Amino acid sequence: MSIQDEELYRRILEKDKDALETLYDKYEKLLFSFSYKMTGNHGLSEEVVQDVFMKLWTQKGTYDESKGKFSSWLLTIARNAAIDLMRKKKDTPYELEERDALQNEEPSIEEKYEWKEEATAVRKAMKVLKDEQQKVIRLFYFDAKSHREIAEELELPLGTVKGRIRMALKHLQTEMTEREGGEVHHERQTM
Amino acid sequence: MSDKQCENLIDYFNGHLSEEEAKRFEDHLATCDSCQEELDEWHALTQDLPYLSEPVEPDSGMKDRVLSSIFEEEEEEKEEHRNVTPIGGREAKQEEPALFEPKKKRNWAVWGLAAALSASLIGNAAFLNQMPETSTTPPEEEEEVVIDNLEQALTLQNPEGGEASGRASLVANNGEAQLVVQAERLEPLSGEEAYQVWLLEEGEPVRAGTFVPNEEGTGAVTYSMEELKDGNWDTLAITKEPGPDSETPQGNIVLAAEI
Repeated sequence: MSIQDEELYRRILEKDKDALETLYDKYEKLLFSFSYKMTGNHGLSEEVVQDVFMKLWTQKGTYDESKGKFSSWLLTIARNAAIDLMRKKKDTPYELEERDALQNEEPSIEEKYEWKEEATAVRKAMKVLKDEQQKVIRLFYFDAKSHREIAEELELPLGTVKGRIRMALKHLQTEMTEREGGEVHHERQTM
Repeated sequence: MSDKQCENLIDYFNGHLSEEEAKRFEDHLATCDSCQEELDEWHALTQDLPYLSEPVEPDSGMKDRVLSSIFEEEEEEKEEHRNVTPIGGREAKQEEPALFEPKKKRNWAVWGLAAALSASLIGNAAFLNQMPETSTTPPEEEEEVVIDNLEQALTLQNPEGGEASGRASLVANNGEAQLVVQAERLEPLSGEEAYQVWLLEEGEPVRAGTFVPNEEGTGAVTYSMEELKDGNWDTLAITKEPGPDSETPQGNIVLAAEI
């Protein structure tokens, strides 16, 4: 699968529109849903998706295999684009479209997840975490809050926030590893 | 100094540093093993998190909008001579006349408008630069009709904040172009006040519809583009006017979008 992504990426570098479209079809839903989880807004999420593919096409970001999985790289671009858009529009009243309600309603994994496999493991692991650790991850990763904001929301001294983030993420990773029956996610990567 | 920089790691990862601060942090990162390690670890440990996202359906037509605007953007960069510049990256119907003349270059006319209206808006106008890059030229060979009559669509937002939101669409009816503007959660008006739609070309506003919202703050107006179709419009803005007849904007922008 990742060989295929890399092949598509190589063709995109050669300005192959079909390759971009294929990659778009493959990742549209995941990128949009992830962007929506971050921004809570359809319009902004579409902008994120557009930014990601624009960057791919205009080669504003370059991928190399040493950076880890292509999909992870793409999702990182999406996260950064979402952060940029959210920050730039911080003062404008984009609507949150009841994101919290969506988060709580736990749609059945079986139904419509294209990324069911990945979702199952991480969701199960997440559920094991205490509320506080789940909150750390949400504030840090999905809401992309500032150091100070995270400290305030968690009522922690600034100096302890990094430690809490590390602990929450490591705990999640441990749970995932155990739940996968020793099948470790070993694509550690650097960006 | 070094220790202090280490405290910026979260804000760096989450995009809260200014360009200059980020640059300074990256200089630090290059020499700080512990920050580098931690950052690598974050990337590694968060890579499965996006899969927690619940599936959400994109708005219909997103693929066409995204891909056409990407490919068109590129054509625009390549081509010296451009014929059609539709709003919103929407592909133009081949058989219909060009509604908008090409832009030489993206210019942020809203700055001009902001200056004309109120100096306090200038700081906020920057956000308009972040509206989607949608000025596009459809490559001839790729033209196709996406939605029957809808030529272009814009999402309107308030540069200063506030609840109001809106949408502007350009639709073609039997070859006649109509601008349709809808807005909601507008502040109530008093006396003679009215909301006025403007199209701007390099900061020069032209009237493009007047309306008064209902009690819920929802309002809409259609405006014939026949007289205006040759304009090189770069911005659409809605202002609250003291009366319905303002020839130039007197009030503040309540909604705007870059075209």
